Amino acid sequence: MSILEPDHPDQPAPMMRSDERYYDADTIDGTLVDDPGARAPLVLGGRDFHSVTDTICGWAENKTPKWWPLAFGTSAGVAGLGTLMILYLIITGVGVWGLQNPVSWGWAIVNFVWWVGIGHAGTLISAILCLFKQKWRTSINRFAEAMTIFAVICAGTFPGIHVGRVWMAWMLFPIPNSNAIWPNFRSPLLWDVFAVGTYFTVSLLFWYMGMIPDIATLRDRATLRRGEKTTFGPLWAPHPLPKVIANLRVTLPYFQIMSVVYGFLALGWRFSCRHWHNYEKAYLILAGLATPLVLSVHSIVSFDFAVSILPGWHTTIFPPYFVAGAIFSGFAMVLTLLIPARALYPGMKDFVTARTIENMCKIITVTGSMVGFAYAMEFFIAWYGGNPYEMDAFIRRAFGPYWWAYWTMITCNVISPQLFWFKWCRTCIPFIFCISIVVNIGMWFERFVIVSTLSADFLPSSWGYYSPTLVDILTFVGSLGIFMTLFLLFCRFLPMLAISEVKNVMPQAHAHLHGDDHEGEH
Amino acid sequence: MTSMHASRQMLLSPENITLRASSSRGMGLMLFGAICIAITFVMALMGNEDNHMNTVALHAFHVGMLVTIGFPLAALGANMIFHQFNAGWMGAMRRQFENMMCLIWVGALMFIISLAMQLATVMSDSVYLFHWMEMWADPSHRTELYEHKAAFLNLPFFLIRAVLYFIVWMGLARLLWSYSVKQDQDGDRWHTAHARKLSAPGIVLWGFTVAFAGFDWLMSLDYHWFSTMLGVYFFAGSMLSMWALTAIIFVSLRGIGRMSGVYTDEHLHDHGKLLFAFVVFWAYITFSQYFLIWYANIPEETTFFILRKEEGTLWQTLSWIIPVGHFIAPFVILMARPAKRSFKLIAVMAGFLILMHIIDIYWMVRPQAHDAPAFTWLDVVGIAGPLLFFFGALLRRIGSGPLVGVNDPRLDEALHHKNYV
Repeated sequence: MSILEPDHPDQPAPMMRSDERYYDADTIDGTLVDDPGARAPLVLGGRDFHSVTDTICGWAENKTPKWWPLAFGTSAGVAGLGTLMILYLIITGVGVWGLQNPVSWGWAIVNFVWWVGIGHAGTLISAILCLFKQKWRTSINRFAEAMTIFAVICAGTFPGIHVGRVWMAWMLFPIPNSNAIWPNFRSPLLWDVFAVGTYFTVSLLFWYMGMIPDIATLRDRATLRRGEKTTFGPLWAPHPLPKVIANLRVTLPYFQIMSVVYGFLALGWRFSCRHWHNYEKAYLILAGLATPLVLSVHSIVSFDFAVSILPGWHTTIFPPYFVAGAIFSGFAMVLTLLIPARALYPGMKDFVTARTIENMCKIITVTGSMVGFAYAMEFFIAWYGGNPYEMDAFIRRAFGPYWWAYWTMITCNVISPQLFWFKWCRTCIPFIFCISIVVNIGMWFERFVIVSTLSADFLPSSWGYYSPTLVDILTFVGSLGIFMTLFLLFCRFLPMLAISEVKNVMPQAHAHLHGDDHEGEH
Repeated sequence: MTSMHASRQMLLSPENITLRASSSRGMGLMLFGAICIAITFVMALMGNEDNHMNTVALHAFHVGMLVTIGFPLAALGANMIFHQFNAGWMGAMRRQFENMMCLIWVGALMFIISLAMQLATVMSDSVYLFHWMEMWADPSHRTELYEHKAAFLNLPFFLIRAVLYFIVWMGLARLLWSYSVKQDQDGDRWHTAHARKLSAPGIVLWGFTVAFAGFDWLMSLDYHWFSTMLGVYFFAGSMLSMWALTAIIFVSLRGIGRMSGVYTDEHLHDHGKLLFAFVVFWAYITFSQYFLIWYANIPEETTFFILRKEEGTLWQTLSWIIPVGHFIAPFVILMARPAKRSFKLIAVMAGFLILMHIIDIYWMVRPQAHDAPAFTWLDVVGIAGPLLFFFGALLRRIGSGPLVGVNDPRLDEALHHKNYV
């Protein structure tokens, strides 16, 4: 797929449609081309390779932006609070959560599924869209992959701590032991351990391997400046500390340190042809391996529910429905993070164009509609199947004590993404940001709706109503803090965009195919 | 194949992109198909309680009809997906998918013939294809479960739904085709944009109608049984068979010296990848459905599989053939890169996969004819009728115009299609 202007010289340049005046000035960057005879440019700003490297490396090399310490401090504080909650849980026991009979699976599983789902966007963008040759993905894949890693870390926390006796969590793994106690291989919960473990490993490898050439670039640039000294300060210090400390300035050979650290992480990458050759091969193989993982992980997560014989949980469409929902929430989270980053980092709009955002909105609509399709099928078959318990579970979801959760879910997951049918909604950045958050909320509620089905079991005398405790809520909020902390560290110290891949989709990279006279911008 | 340097005019010369003299062969196939259909019909009328030939004829024809409808239906969906993706490489291939999608009328015709056949068997011997129709017709036979489902499973609503499906499918296909033909004539590239605009809501309509068609025509054969996945199952199998059939078309066209440089090794490679992808997708859907029902082991759901796993029946044999032939073998073979770039191998695999799809549908439909003997000559004739008729109509259609949408705005991109970077 060429990203250039049409090859036919007789065709006019792409035109904006007549309704362009309705768009936000911020988003009119010429990439929202409807003309089927043209391909929108993927990189704007008349950039050459050098300026791409400078801009992307600059985000990691330049002085820390003013907002960063504030954001980082807040996130780290929230993460610390979450960690305290986990500590409290471990010391006291899972009784500090709102779990009770019959809802013996509460927020921990909801949070786990939510976080795993969010991770899926990264793998979809980096693996499936790679196999589909969707070149617009190059400006967001690194970002999304990083998000995947951090989301899976958050997800992994919950099953780990929900076992109660965390020090026994190693028993989740089939490790030979003197008591000859093995995990139950017939339980989907054990498959989860393998599925999520594999997923994390492959995603991490994919992310890290893709980053090696870019880290090597950062290493080389730091090495060139290793003589420069950087002064930090005045340091901020809390009030009771003496002014001497508050006014302290520290001078460090920052680039010397960075050259060593990046050099270590770059694993001896030298940009040789042989390196690139191996790299390209490994990239494709990992993309091929990661593609079935996108499907398998959330399918197995869905098995946690669907293999049981509980009404509302046991339905055959669960695996693809969970996968669609996962991609849906993942793309929403990528947008939630990308939109502020795009505004805060200078030059990022040249790579993450209005069209990239629009494409992501479209994927959200597609996957949101798939989720809506699954809800409809579930409801229809619940009636069609003629099982009164199944039907009752669905009626209780919509009109029972948790009606508010159900309708929040429907509004956020089925109705809100349909707004992206309108071009204005897909191009108004603040609006997209709001919808992305709405979708995240909706997907959290989807899992809550599924779990809260437990509240009405087969014995009406044991029906209950699940309410979370403060510890539940703060642990979840804390996981958001952990996620953001890791993410901000990534933004600060690693190349946020895949430099080599972005260069690959620029017109200059295909000069031999299309001639030199096509390099201009539209 | 270095199509890149070949001139556009040469590649798009009439000798390369038109197929002549396929009309009579197409007619021949259609005639042959019609004869098979007629035989099936006669057997449906002549069958009796002893030989069950009427039941066999009904079921076999139903298999043929479902496979036949699957091709144009999946081609319609694929076309709309290409438009939504702005797929560049499809520029040179799109026309063949459009030819196929325009043949939904064949499916509609087969549906009408099937209804006529059902009417005939009901009148002559009160043999029903759909058991719930018997209950609908005769309230004294009704079970409690049917009473529950009667609002959905009744003949008027069943027919209304079918008409609705065909209107949606034929309407969408008609509109997409008209854009494509107009573009051939006036060269206006904005027709592609209009088609894209139509495709977005089209896919939504298509998704729901295909799922419910699957419920109506496959799942309700046994009105007791239900699975939320069945619509997706029907879609996945049809998609796979459609990719296989288009692969056969392109390989054949290349074999007789057409579309050279237009449909290259690179297109074949990607075609093979999609074939592989749908082999896996079908397996994923099928396995998920089977696995969840097997694991939960609820009697309402397991009936479907118990019937097909009964010791010593043909269905049990097929239950083993399908996972191996529909998934494992093509998965292993199509995984290799050289396999996907071999015209011969792709053609063989595509033919094999179509056969497997027929067996899969056969395995879903035919066991519902409980007492009837398994696999008779009538099964072959009953399935072959609609299929041969469809293949004939398709052949005629392929020969009736240029093989490529010559004014497609992305044609150059498609001609330059490469698999690396």
